[in-house]
Parts: sequence; C-alpha cells; structure tokens
Amino acid sequence: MRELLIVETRDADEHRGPERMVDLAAGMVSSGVPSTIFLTENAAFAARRRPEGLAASAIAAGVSVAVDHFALQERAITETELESGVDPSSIDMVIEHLSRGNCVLWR
Amino acid sequence: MSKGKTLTFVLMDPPFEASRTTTAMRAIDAALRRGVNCNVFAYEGAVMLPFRHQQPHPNPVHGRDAAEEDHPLPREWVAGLMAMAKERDAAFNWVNCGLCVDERGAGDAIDGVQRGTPADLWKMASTSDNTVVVATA
Repeated sequence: MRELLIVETRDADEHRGPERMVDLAAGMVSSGVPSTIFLTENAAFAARRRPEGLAASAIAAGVSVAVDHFALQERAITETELESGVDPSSIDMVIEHLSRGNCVLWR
Repeated sequence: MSKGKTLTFVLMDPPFEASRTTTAMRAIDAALRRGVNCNVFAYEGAVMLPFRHQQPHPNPVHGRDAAEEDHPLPREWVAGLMAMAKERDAAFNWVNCGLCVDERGAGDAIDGVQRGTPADLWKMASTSDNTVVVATA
C-alpha cells in the first residue's frame, strides 16, 4: 500500500470509531505507510484544539490530519480554533488520493 | 493530473437520511470537474437517489411554499452530475442494483440511470484506477 487516507465522518464524542481509526492510522505509519485522516461532517468537531484530543493524538503519532473546509463552515468552526498541525482542506483531497491509487477508507 | 483516470464510487445510503450522501456527491462532483471518469454503483437504499418521483414540498410551519422552501432533491443532484460529466467530457455511469430496485419499487429512475447486478460492480472496479466504498455508518 502506497498511502492510506481515512475519511472520517463520525463525531468523536459520540462514537468510539474515530479513536479506532487513529489507532489504525498510527499503526500504519509505524509500519511505514504514510497515513492521513480527513475529517468531514461531524468529525470536523474533532479538529478543534483540546487537551488530549483526537487530532492531537493523531498528529503526535505521525498521522497527517486534514479537515474539510466545507464542514468547518457548516459548523461555524473557525481556523483559529483548530489544533496546531490540522490542515484545512477540500474534498479534492479524496480525489487526489484515489487518483494516485492510494487506499481510501470511508468511515 | 487525474484527468482521464476512472474512479468507482459505491453508495449505500438512502436519500434524505445521511450527510454522507451529500459528501459522496461532493466528491464525485470534484472528480468530474477534473475530468475524471466516474462510475457509481448504488445498492440498498441508494437506488432511491435517482428516483424520478421525488417531489419538493412546502414548509407550512415556516410559511414557505414549495418554491421558497427550495427543498433539495437527490434526483436533481444525480442529473447535475450527469450534466457536469458532459460539460467536462468525462464518462459517467450510474448503475442501480436491480435486486435493490425491485425490493423498493424504485424502477422509475431519471433518464441515464442503468440497471445492473453486483457483476457490474465487479467490472467497474476491475477496470477503474481506484474504488471507494461509501457504506452506511
């Protein structure tokens, strides 16, 4: 596998799934597979800065974290609220990864 | 860079239920805008996305008629994707799973929607540069 992109849609405060996805991405990184989590829909809330938050944990493990700019706008989350290292991005990121032949998991 | 590539999207959610349908449609739209050829295989509730008889409705609680309410209809989104594909000279195939269509009485879809089987999904995936499954949460 060249790279892994996880499209996470679930709110990390309501589901355990996003935490598992961070574990998966961190494991892939430690196995030498560059991995990114793209937060969209209610998962965008996890992009906000908070102690021991999902985004911070992922970044600390070497996982790239991006957040859907569209989802931020829908939820009135400003970029100043984001965890350091979270990259505001667009849905084009998914197409980029798919076009490059990367594995894309949509959760 | 991605123009000329082919991607397959597998959708499962019914219309009017989940944000992931909107997100998936945004992704397909982004691909078509780049000139990427797109296949969509819709199964389970997603076969209702292009159902021809979806209708907008008024919102009496807010005192709006149907035009003012401007209720979004997924069949119009699907038609919009077809139009975008034409505009960008990209191939676009929407295939509804036939068994799922029959279960739901969803046979009357908008023009351009094809009926197929999981074998079509296999063919699509086999001939695409990549495939992504947007399953229900």
